[in-house]
Amino acid sequence: MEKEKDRIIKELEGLNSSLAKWKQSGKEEGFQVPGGYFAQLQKDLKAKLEEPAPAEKPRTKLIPLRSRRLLSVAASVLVLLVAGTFWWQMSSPSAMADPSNIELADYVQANLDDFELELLTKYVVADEETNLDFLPVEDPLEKEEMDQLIDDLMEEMDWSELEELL
Amino acid sequence: MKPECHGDQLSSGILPQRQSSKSRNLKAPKQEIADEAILHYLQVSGDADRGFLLLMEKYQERLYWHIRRLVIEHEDANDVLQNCLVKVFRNIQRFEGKSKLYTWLYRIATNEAITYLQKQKKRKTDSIHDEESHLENQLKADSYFDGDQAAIQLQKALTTLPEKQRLVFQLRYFEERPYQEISDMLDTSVGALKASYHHAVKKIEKYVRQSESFLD
Repeated sequence: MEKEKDRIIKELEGLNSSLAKWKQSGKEEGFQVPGGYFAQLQKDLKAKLEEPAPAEKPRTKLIPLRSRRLLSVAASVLVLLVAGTFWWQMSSPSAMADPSNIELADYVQANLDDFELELLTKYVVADEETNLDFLPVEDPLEKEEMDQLIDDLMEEMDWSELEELL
Repeated sequence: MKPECHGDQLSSGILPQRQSSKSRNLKAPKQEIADEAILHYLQVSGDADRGFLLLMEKYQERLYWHIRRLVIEHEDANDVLQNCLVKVFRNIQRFEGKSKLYTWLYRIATNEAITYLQKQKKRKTDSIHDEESHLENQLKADSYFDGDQAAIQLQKALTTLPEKQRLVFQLRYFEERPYQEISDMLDTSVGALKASYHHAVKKIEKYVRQSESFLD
C-alpha cells in the first residue's frame, strides 16, 4: 500500500497539484467516528440478522414507461410488416399462378393430342388477333423458301393424299 | 453515543477515545485472515458466527470509511453500512467467487451509498438546495467532522464533483486503490478511470486555489 501511496503522490506531482503536498503531509481528513462504534455495530448487526428476513413481496411485473413506448412501436412495426406481407402476397400473382410462356408452350407440345383441333385453332387465332407473344415463333419463311417447301411436299405426296387434304 | 477523540489526544489518555479515518492506519498491523478462510466459514463449514466475526473484523472499518466519505454524515453512513452488511450476509451463499471478496463487498457498499444519495437528492428536489450545497450543509452539520481549514476546503471541493469523479477520487486518493482494482469494482476501464481522476484533481485544484488557507 505504501508503494501505491508513492505512486499516487508522484502522479499528483505530475499534475502540479497541491494535493500531492496534502497527501505527503499525512494530514487528517477530519472525519471521526463515535468511540466503540464498531463493537456496537457488530452487536446491532447480529441482532438484525437474527430477525427473520422480511418476506419478499410478490413482485408485480412493471414495464417501465420507456420500455412500454418501445414495445408499442415494435408492435406497430410488426403489425405493419404482417399486413404488408399479406397484402403483397394477395396482390402479386404467385409463381404458380403465372407460368412462363416457355412452360406453357412445353405443356401444349407435350399434351398436343389432348387438345381438340377446334380449340387449338381458336386459340391461335385469338393469339394472332391480340398479338400476344404466346408461342415462340420462328422467323417466318421467305416467299421463295415457302414455294420450295410446298413443291417438295407436293412431290412427296400421292394424288390420293392431296385429294384427301383438299 | 458519546463522541470520543483521536490522534494525539488518544495517546495522552486525557480525553475519551474517538476514532478518525486515519487513526485506523496507526494500529499495529495484524495478520489478516484470508478471504478464502472467511468464505469457508460462511459458506461451507456452517460456523457462520465465526465467519461473521472474521468478515466484520477485516472489512467493517474499510467499508464504513468508504461509505462515510460518500455520504458524509456518520448517521447516514451507519444506516447505509448496516443495510450493506445485512445484504452481504443474507446473500453470501450466492457469492460464487468470480470476483474477489473485497471487490464484491465494495460494489455492494458503493451501490448502497449511491442509492441512498440519489434517494436523498430526490427528497430534496423541491427544496432550494442542490446536491452540492446539501452535502456541504451535511458537512457543517456533522458533529463527527473536525477537520482543519484545509480539510474543510478539500471536503467542500469534493462535494462539487460529479458522483463518479468523486467516487474515483476517493478510491484512488484516500483509499489508495490501484486503478485495476477500482476498474474491477466499478466495472469501468482503467483509461476512463484515469481521465475521471485527472478531471477531479483539476477541479479540486481550481476550487482550493481560491482558498488561501489550503496547506498553509
